[in-house]
Amino acid sequence: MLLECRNLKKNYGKKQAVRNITLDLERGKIYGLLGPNGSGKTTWMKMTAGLVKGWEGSISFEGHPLSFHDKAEIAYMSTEPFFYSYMKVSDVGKYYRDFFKDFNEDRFGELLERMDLSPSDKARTLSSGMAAKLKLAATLARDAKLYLLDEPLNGIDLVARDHVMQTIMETRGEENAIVMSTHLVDEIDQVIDDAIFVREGQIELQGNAKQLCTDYGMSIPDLYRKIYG
Amino acid sequence: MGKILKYEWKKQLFSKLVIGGILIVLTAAFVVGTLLEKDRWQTTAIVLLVFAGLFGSLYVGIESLLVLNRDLRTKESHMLFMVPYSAWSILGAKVLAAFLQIVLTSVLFAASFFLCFTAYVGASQGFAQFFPMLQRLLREWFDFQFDWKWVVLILCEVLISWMNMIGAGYASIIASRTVLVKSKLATPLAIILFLFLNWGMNQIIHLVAKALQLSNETYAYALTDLGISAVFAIILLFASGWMAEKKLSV
Repeated sequence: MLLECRNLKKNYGKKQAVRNITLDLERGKIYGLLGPNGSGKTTWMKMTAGLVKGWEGSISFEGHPLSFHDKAEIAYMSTEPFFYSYMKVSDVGKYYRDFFKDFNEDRFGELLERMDLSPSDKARTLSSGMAAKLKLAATLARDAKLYLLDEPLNGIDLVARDHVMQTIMETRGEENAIVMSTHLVDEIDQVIDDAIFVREGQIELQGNAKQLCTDYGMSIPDLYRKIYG
Repeated sequence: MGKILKYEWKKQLFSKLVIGGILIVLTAAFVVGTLLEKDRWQTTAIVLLVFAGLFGSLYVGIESLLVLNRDLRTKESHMLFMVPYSAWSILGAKVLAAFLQIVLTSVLFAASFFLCFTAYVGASQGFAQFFPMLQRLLREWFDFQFDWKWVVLILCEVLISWMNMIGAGYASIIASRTVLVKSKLATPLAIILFLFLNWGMNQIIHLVAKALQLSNETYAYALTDLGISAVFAIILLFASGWMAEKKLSV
Protein backbone atom coordinates (compact mmCIF):
# COMPACT_ATOMS: atom_id res chain seq x y z
CA MET A 1 0.00 0.00 0.00
CA LEU A 2 1.34 3.44 -0.90
CA LEU A 3 -0.62 5.50 1.61
CA GLU A 4 -2.71 4.45 4.59
CA CYS A 5 -4.83 6.96 6.50
CA ARG A 6 -6.56 5.92 9.70
CA ASN A 7 -9.26 7.83 11.59
CA LEU A 8 -8.06 11.25 10.49
CA LYS A 9 -9.57 14.26 12.22
CA LYS A 10 -8.75 17.93 11.89
CA ASN A 11 -10.49 20.87 13.53
CA TYR A 12 -10.07 24.56 12.74
CA GLY A 13 -11.31 26.08 15.98
CA LYS A 14 -14.82 24.69 16.45
CA LYS A 15 -15.17 23.70 12.78
CA GLN A 16 -14.49 20.05 11.98
CA ALA A 17 -12.83 20.12 8.56
CA VAL A 18 -12.08 16.38 8.59
CA ARG A 19 -14.28 14.24 10.86
CA ASN A 20 -13.09 10.69 10.36
CA ILE A 21 -11.32 9.64 7.21
CA THR A 22 -9.90 6.16 6.79
CA LEU A 23 -8.47 5.58 3.35
CA ASP A 24 -5.91 3.45 1.50
CA LEU A 25 -4.22 4.38 -1.78
CA GLU A 26 -2.61 1.84 -4.07
CA ARG A 27 0.09 2.35 -6.68
CA GLY A 28 -0.90 2.46 -10.34
CA LYS A 29 -4.28 4.10 -9.82
CA ILE A 30 -5.92 7.46 -10.43
CA TYR A 31 -8.31 8.48 -7.68
CA GLY A 32 -11.06 11.03 -7.98
CA LEU A 33 -11.66 12.79 -4.68
CA LEU A 34 -15.13 14.14 -5.19
CA GLY A 35 -17.28 16.46 -3.16
CA PRO A 36 -18.59 20.01 -2.99
CA ASN A 37 -16.60 22.95 -1.65
CA GLY A 38 -15.98 22.71 2.08
CA SER A 39 -16.31 18.92 2.23
CA GLY A 40 -12.74 18.44 3.52
CA LYS A 41 -10.95 17.45 0.30
CA THR A 42 -8.33 20.19 0.46
CA THR A 43 -7.70 19.71 4.18
CA TRP A 44 -7.11 15.97 3.67
CA MET A 45 -4.72 16.69 0.78
CA LYS A 46 -2.81 19.26 2.80
CA MET A 47 -2.57 16.87 5.76
CA THR A 48 -1.07 14.25 3.45
CA ALA A 49 1.24 16.84 1.86
CA GLY A 50 2.49 17.87 5.33
CA LEU A 51 1.08 21.40 5.11
CA VAL A 52 -1.64 21.00 7.73
CA LYS A 53 -0.54 20.08 11.25
CA GLY A 54 -2.22 19.38 14.55
CA TRP A 55 -4.46 16.55 13.38
CA GLU A 56 -5.49 13.27 15.01
CA GLY A 57 -5.16 9.78 13.56
CA SER A 58 -2.33 8.30 11.55
CA ILE A 59 -0.92 8.53 8.04
CA SER A 60 1.59 5.98 6.75
CA PHE A 61 3.48 6.48 3.52
CA GLU A 62 5.12 3.36 2.11
CA GLY A 63 4.72 1.67 5.48
CA HIS A 64 6.27 4.33 7.71
CA PRO A 65 4.67 7.25 9.57
CA LEU A 66 4.47 10.31 7.34
CA SER A 67 7.32 12.80 7.92
CA PHE A 68 8.74 15.87 6.21
CA HIS A 69 11.20 13.63 4.31
CA ASP A 70 8.23 12.20 2.36
CA LYS A 71 7.64 15.59 0.74
CA ALA A 72 10.51 14.55 -1.56
CA GLU A 73 8.17 11.90 -3.01
CA ILE A 74 4.77 13.54 -2.67
CA ALA A 75 3.93 16.21 -5.25
CA TYR A 76 1.16 18.50 -4.05
CA MET A 77 -0.51 21.10 -6.24
CA SER A 78 -2.53 23.69 -4.39
CA THR A 79 -5.70 25.11 -5.91
CA GLU A 80 -4.47 28.72 -5.53
CA PRO A 81 -1.32 30.22 -7.13
CA PHE A 82 1.56 29.97 -4.64
CA PHE A 83 4.75 30.98 -6.43
CA TYR A 84 6.94 33.78 -5.03
CA SER A 85 5.97 37.13 -6.47
CA TYR A 86 9.42 37.88 -7.92
CA MET A 87 9.52 34.63 -9.92
CA LYS A 88 9.45 34.18 -13.66
CA VAL A 89 8.16 30.93 -15.15
CA SER A 90 11.78 29.76 -15.54
CA ASP A 91 12.50 30.56 -11.85
CA VAL A 92 9.70 28.19 -10.85
CA GLY A 93 11.52 25.40 -12.69
CA LYS A 94 14.80 26.31 -10.98
CA TYR A 95 13.10 26.26 -7.58
CA TYR A 96 11.66 22.79 -8.17
CA ARG A 97 15.02 21.59 -9.52
CA ASP A 98 16.78 22.87 -6.40
CA PHE A 99 14.43 21.18 -3.94
CA PHE A 100 13.16 18.03 -5.64
CA LYS A 101 15.55 15.40 -6.95
CA ASP A 102 12.72 13.86 -8.99
CA PHE A 103 12.15 17.06 -10.98
CA ASN A 104 12.75 16.61 -14.70
CA GLU A 105 13.75 19.89 -16.36
CA ASP A 106 13.30 18.54 -19.89
CA ARG A 107 9.80 17.39 -19.04
CA PHE A 108 9.08 20.81 -17.52
CA GLY A 109 10.24 22.54 -20.72
CA GLU A 110 8.11 20.21 -22.80
CA LEU A 111 5.04 20.88 -20.64
CA LEU A 112 5.60 24.66 -20.79
CA GLU A 113 5.65 24.44 -24.56
CA ARG A 114 2.53 22.30 -24.66
CA MET A 115 0.72 24.73 -22.39
CA ASP A 116 1.87 27.83 -24.29
CA LEU A 117 3.85 29.21 -21.37
CA SER A 118 6.95 31.32 -21.94
CA PRO A 119 9.89 30.89 -19.49
CA SER A 120 10.36 34.67 -19.44
CA ASP A 121 6.79 35.43 -18.28
CA LYS A 122 6.34 36.73 -14.75
CA ALA A 123 4.44 34.09 -12.74
CA ARG A 124 2.58 36.85 -10.89
CA THR A 125 1.11 38.44 -13.99
CA LEU A 126 -0.22 35.25 -15.60
CA SER A 127 -3.97 34.92 -16.09
CA SER A 128 -5.67 32.45 -13.74
CA GLY A 129 -5.79 29.83 -16.49
CA MET A 130 -2.12 30.21 -17.37
CA ALA A 131 -1.16 30.23 -13.67
CA ALA A 132 -3.09 26.96 -13.25
CA LYS A 133 -1.17 25.47 -16.18
CA LEU A 134 2.15 26.56 -14.65
CA LYS A 135 1.30 24.88 -11.34
CA LEU A 136 0.44 21.70 -13.21
CA ALA A 137 3.58 21.80 -15.36
CA ALA A 138 5.81 22.22 -12.29
CA THR A 139 4.02 19.48 -10.32
CA LEU A 140 3.75 16.94 -13.15
CA ALA A 141 7.38 17.45 -14.19
CA ARG A 142 8.25 15.63 -10.96
CA ASP A 143 8.59 11.87 -10.96
CA ALA A 144 6.81 11.55 -7.62
CA LYS A 145 5.25 8.49 -6.03
CA LEU A 146 2.09 10.30 -5.02
CA TYR A 147 0.52 13.28 -6.82
CA LEU A 148 -2.09 15.28 -5.00
CA LEU A 149 -3.80 17.63 -7.44
CA ASP A 150 -6.27 19.97 -5.81
CA GLU A 151 -8.84 21.11 -8.39
CA PRO A 152 -6.43 20.76 -11.36
CA LEU A 153 -9.07 21.91 -13.86
CA ASN A 154 -10.06 25.10 -12.06
CA GLY A 155 -9.68 28.17 -14.24
CA ILE A 156 -8.64 26.16 -17.29
CA ASP A 157 -10.65 26.56 -20.50
CA LEU A 158 -12.37 23.63 -22.21
CA VAL A 159 -9.75 23.11 -24.92
CA ALA A 160 -6.83 23.27 -22.52
CA ARG A 161 -8.57 20.79 -20.20
CA ASP A 162 -7.95 18.08 -22.77
CA HIS A 163 -4.22 18.87 -22.68
CA VAL A 164 -4.28 18.78 -18.90
CA MET A 165 -6.08 15.43 -18.76
CA GLN A 166 -3.71 14.03 -21.38
CA THR A 167 -0.71 15.17 -19.32
CA ILE A 168 -2.17 13.62 -16.18
CA MET A 169 -2.72 10.35 -18.04
CA GLU A 170 0.90 10.42 -19.24
CA THR A 171 2.07 10.88 -15.68
CA ARG A 172 0.21 7.80 -14.51
CA GLY A 173 2.55 4.87 -13.85
CA GLU A 174 2.66 1.51 -12.12
CA GLU A 175 4.73 2.92 -9.29
CA ASN A 176 2.71 6.03 -8.55
CA ALA A 177 -0.78 7.06 -7.58
CA ILE A 178 -2.61 10.23 -8.54
CA VAL A 179 -5.37 11.85 -6.52
CA MET A 180 -7.43 14.57 -8.18
CA SER A 181 -9.91 16.52 -6.15
CA THR A 182 -12.65 18.19 -8.11
CA HIS A 183 -16.26 19.11 -8.29
CA LEU A 184 -16.10 19.07 -12.13
CA VAL A 185 -17.07 15.39 -12.13
CA ASP A 186 -18.05 15.23 -15.81
CA GLU A 187 -14.47 16.04 -16.78
CA ILE A 188 -12.78 13.20 -14.94
CA ASP A 189 -15.16 10.29 -14.72
CA GLN A 190 -13.59 8.62 -17.77
CA VAL A 191 -10.04 8.71 -16.39
CA ILE A 192 -10.38 7.75 -12.74
CA ASP A 193 -10.00 4.20 -11.50
CA ASP A 194 -11.50 4.78 -8.06
CA ALA A 195 -13.96 7.37 -6.84
CA ILE A 196 -13.98 8.71 -3.29
CA PHE A 197 -17.03 10.77 -2.37
CA VAL A 198 -16.45 13.07 0.59
CA ARG A 199 -19.13 14.85 2.55
CA GLU A 200 -18.72 17.00 5.68
CA GLY A 201 -15.25 15.66 6.41
CA GLN A 202 -16.18 11.99 6.04
CA ILE A 203 -16.07 9.46 3.23
CA GLU A 204 -19.61 8.90 2.05
CA LEU A 205 -18.83 6.29 -0.58
CA GLN A 206 -15.72 4.89 -2.21
CA GLY A 207 -14.75 2.15 -4.59
CA ASN A 208 -13.82 1.17 -8.12
CA ALA A 209 -15.52 3.68 -10.43
CA LYS A 210 -16.82 1.09 -12.89
CA GLN A 211 -18.06 -1.16 -10.10
CA LEU A 212 -19.87 1.75 -8.46
CA CYS A 213 -21.54 2.56 -11.79
CA THR A 214 -22.66 -1.08 -12.10
CA ASP A 215 -23.80 -1.39 -8.49
CA TYR A 216 -25.82 1.82 -8.52
CA GLY A 217 -26.87 1.63 -12.17
CA MET A 218 -25.76 5.15 -12.93
CA SER A 219 -22.73 7.13 -14.07
CA ILE A 220 -20.29 8.80 -11.65
CA PRO A 221 -21.74 12.30 -12.39
CA ASP A 222 -25.26 10.98 -11.69
CA LEU A 223 -24.05 9.30 -8.53
CA TYR A 224 -22.51 12.62 -7.52
CA ARG A 225 -25.85 14.37 -8.10
CA LYS A 226 -27.63 11.68 -6.08
CA ILE A 227 -25.25 11.98 -3.13
CA TYR A 228 -25.01 15.77 -2.99
CA GLY A 229 -28.19 16.82 -4.73
CA MET B 1 19.33 24.32 4.41
CA GLY B 2 21.66 26.19 2.05
CA LYS B 3 19.01 26.13 -0.67
CA ILE B 4 16.35 27.60 1.59
CA LEU B 5 18.88 30.23 2.64
CA LYS B 6 19.44 31.08 -1.05
CA TYR B 7 15.73 31.72 -1.67
CA GLU B 8 15.25 33.60 1.60
CA TRP B 9 18.20 35.78 0.58
CA LYS B 10 16.55 36.44 -2.81
CA LYS B 11 13.24 37.35 -1.16
CA GLN B 12 14.96 40.03 0.93
CA LEU B 13 17.38 41.25 -1.71
CA PHE B 14 15.17 43.94 -3.29
CA SER B 15 15.21 46.14 -0.18
CA LYS B 16 19.02 45.88 -0.05
CA LEU B 17 19.22 47.03 -3.67
CA VAL B 18 17.03 50.04 -2.77
CA ILE B 19 19.18 50.85 0.28
CA GLY B 20 22.34 50.37 -1.81
CA GLY B 21 20.99 52.68 -4.52
CA ILE B 22 20.09 55.39 -2.00
CA LEU B 23 23.52 55.12 -0.38
CA ILE B 24 25.30 55.42 -3.74
CA VAL B 25 23.35 58.57 -4.65
CA LEU B 26 23.80 60.23 -1.23
CA THR B 27 27.47 59.28 -0.95
CA ALA B 28 28.12 60.59 -4.46
CA ALA B 29 26.28 63.82 -3.55
CA PHE B 30 28.43 64.25 -0.43
CA VAL B 31 31.70 63.48 -2.20
CA VAL B 32 30.95 65.77 -5.14
CA GLY B 33 29.65 68.49 -2.78
CA THR B 34 32.86 68.23 -0.73
CA LEU B 35 35.19 68.32 -3.70
CA LEU B 36 33.32 71.22 -5.33
CA GLU B 37 32.90 72.97 -1.96
CA LYS B 38 29.12 73.06 -2.20
CA ASP B 39 28.05 73.23 1.44
CA ARG B 40 24.35 72.73 0.74
CA TRP B 41 25.00 69.44 -1.08
CA GLN B 42 27.22 68.27 1.75
CA THR B 43 24.74 69.16 4.48
CA THR B 44 21.72 67.72 2.69
CA ALA B 45 23.55 64.50 1.84
CA ILE B 46 24.85 63.97 5.37
CA VAL B 47 21.42 64.62 6.95
CA LEU B 48 19.78 62.21 4.51
CA LEU B 49 22.54 59.65 5.12
CA VAL B 50 21.83 59.78 8.87
CA PHE B 51 18.10 59.24 8.20
CA ALA B 52 18.86 56.45 5.72
CA GLY B 53 21.08 54.84 8.38
CA LEU B 54 18.37 55.06 11.05
CA PHE B 55 15.44 53.86 8.94
CA GLY B 56 17.54 51.41 6.94
CA SER B 57 18.88 49.62 10.02
CA LEU B 58 15.42 49.60 11.62
CA TYR B 59 13.82 48.13 8.48
CA VAL B 60 16.55 45.56 7.89
CA GLY B 61 16.31 44.52 11.55
CA ILE B 62 12.61 43.70 11.29
CA GLU B 63 12.41 42.70 7.61
CA SER B 64 12.62 39.01 8.44
CA LEU B 65 9.45 39.36 10.53
CA LEU B 66 7.61 41.15 7.72
CA VAL B 67 8.64 38.44 5.26
CA LEU B 68 7.54 35.60 7.56
CA ASN B 69 4.19 37.31 8.16
CA ARG B 70 3.69 37.75 4.40
CA ASP B 71 4.67 34.13 3.76
CA LEU B 72 2.09 32.86 6.23
CA ARG B 73 -0.60 35.37 5.21
CA THR B 74 -0.41 34.31 1.56
CA LYS B 75 -0.17 31.01 -0.31
CA GLU B 76 3.56 31.67 -0.73
CA SER B 77 3.75 29.66 2.50
CA HIS B 78 3.23 26.56 0.31
CA MET B 79 6.52 27.29 -1.46
CA LEU B 80 8.27 27.37 1.88
CA PHE B 81 6.65 24.37 3.54
CA MET B 82 6.20 21.99 0.58
CA VAL B 83 9.94 21.35 0.41
CA PRO B 84 11.38 18.26 2.15
CA TYR B 85 12.90 20.12 5.08
CA SER B 86 11.79 20.34 8.70
CA ALA B 87 10.24 23.53 10.03
CA TRP B 88 13.38 23.86 12.19
CA SER B 89 15.58 24.04 9.08
CA ILE B 90 13.22 26.49 7.40
CA LEU B 91 13.13 28.89 10.37
CA GLY B 92 16.89 28.43 10.94
CA ALA B 93 17.54 29.43 7.33
CA LYS B 94 15.30 32.46 7.76
CA VAL B 95 17.21 33.65 10.85
CA LEU B 96 20.56 33.10 9.14
CA ALA B 97 19.42 34.90 5.97
CA ALA B 98 18.22 37.85 8.07
CA PHE B 99 21.57 38.00 9.92
CA LEU B 100 23.54 37.91 6.66
CA GLN B 101 21.36 40.69 5.23
CA ILE B 102 22.19 42.82 8.28
CA VAL B 103 25.91 42.14 7.73
CA LEU B 104 25.54 43.15 4.06
CA THR B 105 23.72 46.36 4.97
CA SER B 106 26.36 47.19 7.62
CA VAL B 107 29.10 46.74 5.00
CA LEU B 108 27.23 49.11 2.64
CA PHE B 109 26.92 51.78 5.36
CA ALA B 110 30.58 51.33 6.41
CA ALA B 111 31.69 51.74 2.78
CA SER B 112 29.59 54.89 2.45
CA PHE B 113 31.04 56.31 5.69
CA PHE B 114 34.59 55.51 4.56
CA LEU B 115 34.11 57.24 1.20
CA CYS B 116 32.54 60.33 2.79
CA PHE B 117 35.30 60.49 5.42
CA THR B 118 38.03 60.07 2.79
CA ALA B 119 36.55 62.83 0.62
CA TYR B 120 36.19 65.18 3.59
CA VAL B 121 39.72 64.68 4.89
CA GLY B 122 41.16 64.76 1.39
CA ALA B 123 39.39 68.01 0.57
CA SER B 124 40.10 69.76 3.85
CA GLN B 125 43.69 68.67 4.38
CA GLY B 126 44.80 67.49 0.94
CA PHE B 127 44.98 63.90 -0.22
CA ALA B 128 48.74 63.86 0.47
CA GLN B 129 47.89 64.29 4.14
CA PHE B 130 45.16 61.62 4.14
CA PHE B 131 47.22 58.53 4.88
CA PRO B 132 49.43 60.16 7.56
CA MET B 133 46.26 61.44 9.21
CA LEU B 134 44.61 58.03 9.01
CA GLN B 135 47.69 56.49 10.61
CA ARG B 136 47.61 59.11 13.36
CA LEU B 137 43.94 58.47 14.01
CA LEU B 138 44.41 54.72 14.16
CA ARG B 139 47.35 55.15 16.55
CA GLU B 140 45.29 57.38 18.82
CA TRP B 141 42.38 54.95 18.57
CA PHE B 142 44.47 51.99 19.70
CA ASP B 143 46.39 53.99 22.35
CA PHE B 144 43.11 55.05 23.86
CA GLN B 145 42.35 53.01 26.93
CA PHE B 146 39.27 51.15 25.78
CA ASP B 147 37.34 49.06 28.21
CA TRP B 148 37.16 46.12 25.80
CA LYS B 149 34.87 44.22 28.16
CA TRP B 150 32.23 46.90 27.56
CA VAL B 151 32.77 46.85 23.82
CA VAL B 152 32.33 43.06 23.68
CA LEU B 153 29.37 43.30 26.03
CA ILE B 154 27.67 45.94 23.86
CA LEU B 155 28.23 43.91 20.69
CA CYS B 156 26.79 40.80 22.39
CA GLU B 157 23.90 42.91 23.70
CA VAL B 158 23.09 44.14 20.17
CA LEU B 159 23.22 40.61 18.73
CA ILE B 160 21.18 39.02 21.51
CA SER B 161 18.63 41.86 21.52
CA TRP B 162 18.14 41.32 17.80
CA MET B 163 17.77 37.55 18.26
CA ASN B 164 15.35 38.24 21.08
CA MET B 165 13.28 40.47 18.82
CA ILE B 166 13.35 37.88 16.02
CA GLY B 167 12.41 35.12 18.49
CA ALA B 168 9.53 37.17 19.95
CA GLY B 169 8.41 38.15 16.44
CA TYR B 170 8.52 34.61 15.02
CA ALA B 171 6.73 33.19 18.07
CA SER B 172 4.03 35.91 17.86
CA ILE B 173 3.47 35.50 14.11
CA ILE B 174 3.41 31.69 14.18
CA ALA B 175 1.18 31.57 17.29
CA SER B 176 -1.30 34.04 15.79
CA ARG B 177 -1.38 32.18 12.44
CA THR B 178 -1.86 28.90 14.31
CA VAL B 179 -4.82 30.20 16.33
CA LEU B 180 -6.37 32.40 13.63
CA VAL B 181 -5.63 30.43 10.47
CA LYS B 182 -7.13 32.62 7.75
CA SER B 183 -8.33 35.62 9.75
CA LYS B 184 -7.41 39.22 8.98
CA LEU B 185 -7.02 39.63 12.73
CA ALA B 186 -3.93 37.41 12.77
CA THR B 187 -1.53 40.31 12.00
CA PRO B 188 -2.94 42.64 14.72
CA LEU B 189 -2.87 39.71 17.17
CA ALA B 190 0.77 39.03 16.25
CA ILE B 191 1.65 42.70 16.94
CA ILE B 192 -0.12 42.62 20.32
CA LEU B 193 1.61 39.35 21.26
CA PHE B 194 4.97 40.75 20.15
CA LEU B 195 4.57 43.88 22.30
CA PHE B 196 3.36 41.81 25.24
CA LEU B 197 6.32 39.40 25.02
CA ASN B 198 8.80 42.30 24.90
CA TRP B 199 7.11 44.05 27.81
CA GLY B 200 7.09 40.79 29.79
CA MET B 201 10.78 40.19 29.17
CA ASN B 202 11.70 43.72 30.28
CA GLN B 203 9.63 43.33 33.43
CA ILE B 204 11.39 40.07 34.30
CA ILE B 205 14.83 41.60 33.71
CA HIS B 206 13.95 44.54 36.02
CA LEU B 207 12.54 42.20 38.67
CA VAL B 208 15.64 40.01 38.65
CA ALA B 209 17.93 43.07 38.76
CA LYS B 210 15.90 44.43 41.67
CA ALA B 211 15.97 41.11 43.51
CA LEU B 212 19.74 40.95 43.06
CA GLN B 213 19.99 44.64 44.04
CA LEU B 214 21.87 45.52 40.87
CA SER B 215 22.11 49.10 39.68
CA ASN B 216 22.22 50.26 36.05
CA GLU B 217 25.52 50.86 34.27
CA THR B 218 27.35 48.08 36.07
CA TYR B 219 28.88 44.96 34.52
CA ALA B 220 26.72 42.81 36.77
CA TYR B 221 23.52 44.48 35.52
CA ALA B 222 24.62 44.26 31.88
CA LEU B 223 25.60 40.61 32.28
CA THR B 224 22.31 39.77 34.00
CA ASP B 225 20.39 41.55 31.23
CA LEU B 226 22.44 39.70 28.61
CA GLY B 227 22.00 36.32 30.29
CA ILE B 228 18.22 36.63 30.69
CA SER B 229 17.84 37.98 27.15
CA ALA B 230 19.86 35.06 25.77
CA VAL B 231 17.68 32.57 27.67
CA PHE B 232 14.53 34.28 26.34
CA ALA B 233 15.89 34.30 22.79
CA ILE B 234 16.60 30.55 22.97
CA ILE B 235 13.18 29.79 24.50
CA LEU B 236 11.33 31.94 21.93
CA LEU B 237 13.19 30.52 18.92
CA PHE B 238 12.64 26.99 20.24
CA ALA B 239 8.93 27.70 20.83
CA SER B 240 8.64 29.10 17.27
CA GLY B 241 10.25 26.00 15.78
CA TRP B 242 8.10 23.67 17.86
CA MET B 243 4.85 25.47 16.90
CA ALA B 244 5.85 25.53 13.21
CA GLU B 245 6.73 21.83 13.29
CA LYS B 246 3.74 20.57 15.27
CA LYS B 247 0.87 23.06 15.01
CA LEU B 248 1.21 25.46 12.11
CA SER B 249 -1.08 24.86 9.13
CA VAL B 250 -0.50 26.77 5.91
